[in-house]
Amino acid sequence: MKGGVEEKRQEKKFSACCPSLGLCTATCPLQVSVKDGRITHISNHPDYRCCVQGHAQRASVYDPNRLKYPLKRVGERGEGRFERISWDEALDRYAAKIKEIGGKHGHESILFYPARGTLGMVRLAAKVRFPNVLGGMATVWGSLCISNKTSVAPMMYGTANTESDLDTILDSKLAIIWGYGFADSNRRIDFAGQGMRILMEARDQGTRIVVIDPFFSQTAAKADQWIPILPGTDGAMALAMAHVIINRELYDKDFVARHVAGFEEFKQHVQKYTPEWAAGITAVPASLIVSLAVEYATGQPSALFPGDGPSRVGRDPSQWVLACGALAAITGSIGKPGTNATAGFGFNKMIRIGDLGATPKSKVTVQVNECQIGDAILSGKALQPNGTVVPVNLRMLIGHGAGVVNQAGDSNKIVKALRSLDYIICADQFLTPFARYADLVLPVTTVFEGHEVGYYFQAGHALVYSEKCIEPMYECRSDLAIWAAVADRLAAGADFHSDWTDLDWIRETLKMSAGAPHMAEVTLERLQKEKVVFVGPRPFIPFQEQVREGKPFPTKSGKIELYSREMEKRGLPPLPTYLDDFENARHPLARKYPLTVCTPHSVAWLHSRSNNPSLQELYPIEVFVNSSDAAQRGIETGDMVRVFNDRGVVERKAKVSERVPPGVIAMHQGPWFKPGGDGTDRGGGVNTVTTDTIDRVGGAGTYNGVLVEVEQA
Amino acid sequence: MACQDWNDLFSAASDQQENTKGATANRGLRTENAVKTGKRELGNKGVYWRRVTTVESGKCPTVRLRNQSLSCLHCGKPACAAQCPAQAISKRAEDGIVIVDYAKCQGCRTCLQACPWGIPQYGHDGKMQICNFCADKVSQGEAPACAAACTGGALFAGPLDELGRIFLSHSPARLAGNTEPSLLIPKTSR
Repeated sequence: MKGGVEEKRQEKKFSACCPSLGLCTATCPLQVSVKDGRITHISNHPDYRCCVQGHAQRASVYDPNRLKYPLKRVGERGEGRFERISWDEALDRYAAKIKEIGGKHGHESILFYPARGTLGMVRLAAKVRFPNVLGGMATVWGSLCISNKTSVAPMMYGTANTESDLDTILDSKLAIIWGYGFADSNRRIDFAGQGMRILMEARDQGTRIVVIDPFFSQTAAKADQWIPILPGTDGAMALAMAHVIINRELYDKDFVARHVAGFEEFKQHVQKYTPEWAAGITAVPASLIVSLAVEYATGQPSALFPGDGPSRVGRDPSQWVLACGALAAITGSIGKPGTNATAGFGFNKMIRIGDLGATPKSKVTVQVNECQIGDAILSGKALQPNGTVVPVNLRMLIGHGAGVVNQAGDSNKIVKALRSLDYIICADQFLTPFARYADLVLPVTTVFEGHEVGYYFQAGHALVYSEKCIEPMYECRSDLAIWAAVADRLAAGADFHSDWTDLDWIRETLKMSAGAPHMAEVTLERLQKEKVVFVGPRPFIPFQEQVREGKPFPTKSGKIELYSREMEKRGLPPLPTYLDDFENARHPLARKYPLTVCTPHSVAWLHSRSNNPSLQELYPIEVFVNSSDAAQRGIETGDMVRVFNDRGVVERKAKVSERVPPGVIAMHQGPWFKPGGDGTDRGGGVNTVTTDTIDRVGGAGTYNGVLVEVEQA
Repeated sequence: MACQDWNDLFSAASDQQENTKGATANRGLRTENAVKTGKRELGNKGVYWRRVTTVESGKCPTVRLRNQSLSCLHCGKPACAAQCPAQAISKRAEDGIVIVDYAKCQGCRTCLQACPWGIPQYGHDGKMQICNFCADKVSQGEAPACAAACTGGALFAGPLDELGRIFLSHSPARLAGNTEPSLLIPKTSR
């Protein structure tokens, strides 16, 4: 034991934030043990638990596959043949190509895509400032993520800050968790370890928990009831529930009279959405739709938590989001403990951060939807946030921590587009599927190799200080250092503040934020001392003042607007509507591709992140196939199968399971696209078969459910 | 503390029905001990001191998942220790933790044959490894890494009699077996 004690003395403990910080609320504080400049162990902060990925991050830092020095491409794009170059040469090339291509085709021909690899306070500010000080570049809008929820919430509620903290289900009689595997993917609260705890605690306290999801997740396994539903049909079920609640007069008449506008129109509108009709679309029995609707309306307080899965599948899933908002509005499940206004996404905006990147303004206004980068390159047209389509001539792509190929729909189309570009720069920690197509690859540090502050930029209450635990590995440099060096080369160093350290960026950002509510008390010194700082009251429940004190809602009418004039103006359904024209059982393609693929999140990957050796050992890359579908195709557990449609072919190991209903297969998203010579993706990437379609209002991808067929490989 | 009738004061009470996120616990323990023993660095594949098996049953939509988390059970009468020809395995007197003396282990794998639960595992050096209950953490009054990390709050560690009292309302049953495994399984509704 004596040796052990001595060993402990030499070991230093640091406080860090999860390397996925800022990405999907992954901001858990971690405790990092370091000995002789090497991380010996990473575990959760003693006071907060984190998910398996936090514990496994050491394997990412010391993964032998990390990028070690700058590379230039010597083989064909995608071949993966590169040659080591010096940083000076790499940075000269980076700067020279901006000058050359920007000079020839204009800066709008350069797409700057610093994605959500690690979104700490420093990087968030710097990534906006960098292109702006160089005269602007084309940037991305929309999202691979949640904008189908956030963009419609204001139409109904006048604000996107509409979602209660999840803890509120502790006060609910019924909690409906709709396409939301928070206990699996550990998201949506301040810290990852909380999701499962809150769920279990709520159940112990007597909250009845119902999970609606095509996939029987670990979250569903802990619930009182699982209702499997066909992907993309959620809107039909939600509207049928509204039909039941209104026609049985179970709605909160008093609440509706005081706070809801457009109820009569909505009432007429939902008459066609009978439970029997919905049953034929969703595969959920009509009796179940009725009983859940009755329970939701009468068992107050009830909380409906619409997840992100259904918001990214089907035709304009933002309609489903609005339908959920309408359910909350007509039942008065708003503004009280145990309820959720439902139309938004974890938006409480407790943490308000000043935008150091906002000045100077970009001179380029062209934007490319994040889900349609490939399409914009190939077609020369790009849809803008306001609905107009503008011509584009994209020649160069700069990606920092960007899952361009792996995480957007239709990987093969993106690859085709990348092959046509003049120049591609990729800065990342690994030779990602995107990096394989780059001309210049730059090795980037992990969060443990510098100072950062983690917080979820849209929700949550916690700011987490992340100390520098070790020196940068190999020749790796931070994104900030790369941008500073390039700005210097292009005579914009002073504008970019290229002499600022990461601590300077944090200090200045916090100074800018001090005017916002709760933010004045957050200083660098306090973060360094306390490591974790919480702001704002918890649990956050929106619209308490409106409901309790009769204050108007921040909409034009001062009420919750079920009828949207803005939707009407844009030629879209003004009332929540179910649209059926997407890849489902009624689509002509269904004869050829009869199965729908659903792509849930795994506990082991955060999108394409954490794809490290120790997690790969624990979590096999599988495709869940219902036993009846498997029997028809002669597929058994462990068989290698091909999942395919017209967009691509991907191979995975089959898992014959009852965790998906007949007609649906499930593939956890995250594994890396790795096409072989025949074009078959043997890495198991889900986006090999998905689409790059987007929601017309939200601008986020609708790639969660597409038609495929499965056969023995 | 004086020895109790079950010999071992420490045990893991594990809710086998509902041990969620056991993989977290699994990783936590593995890396923790990789540090402490200096034995296991990256790449020592396949060795896990705690393993979680997810068992599916039933038919859609009434399907069930059970996550069974299993490590060394630190038995009251460990068969591995009794059978080890090198006498490399012993029970720590103060708390009953089963400890392997790596210097003595010959890698003959008799312990794997003896263990009714198939727990012992072997790394690159061929020597036997089992969960050591984070012995040095426990000596300092801390919880084992798995119990401290489990996101679902499904793993607990402590003296058996104490855990028995804590889980009294869940009528905990000790896992049955000739070797007297130190595992309490509380009954739950789920």
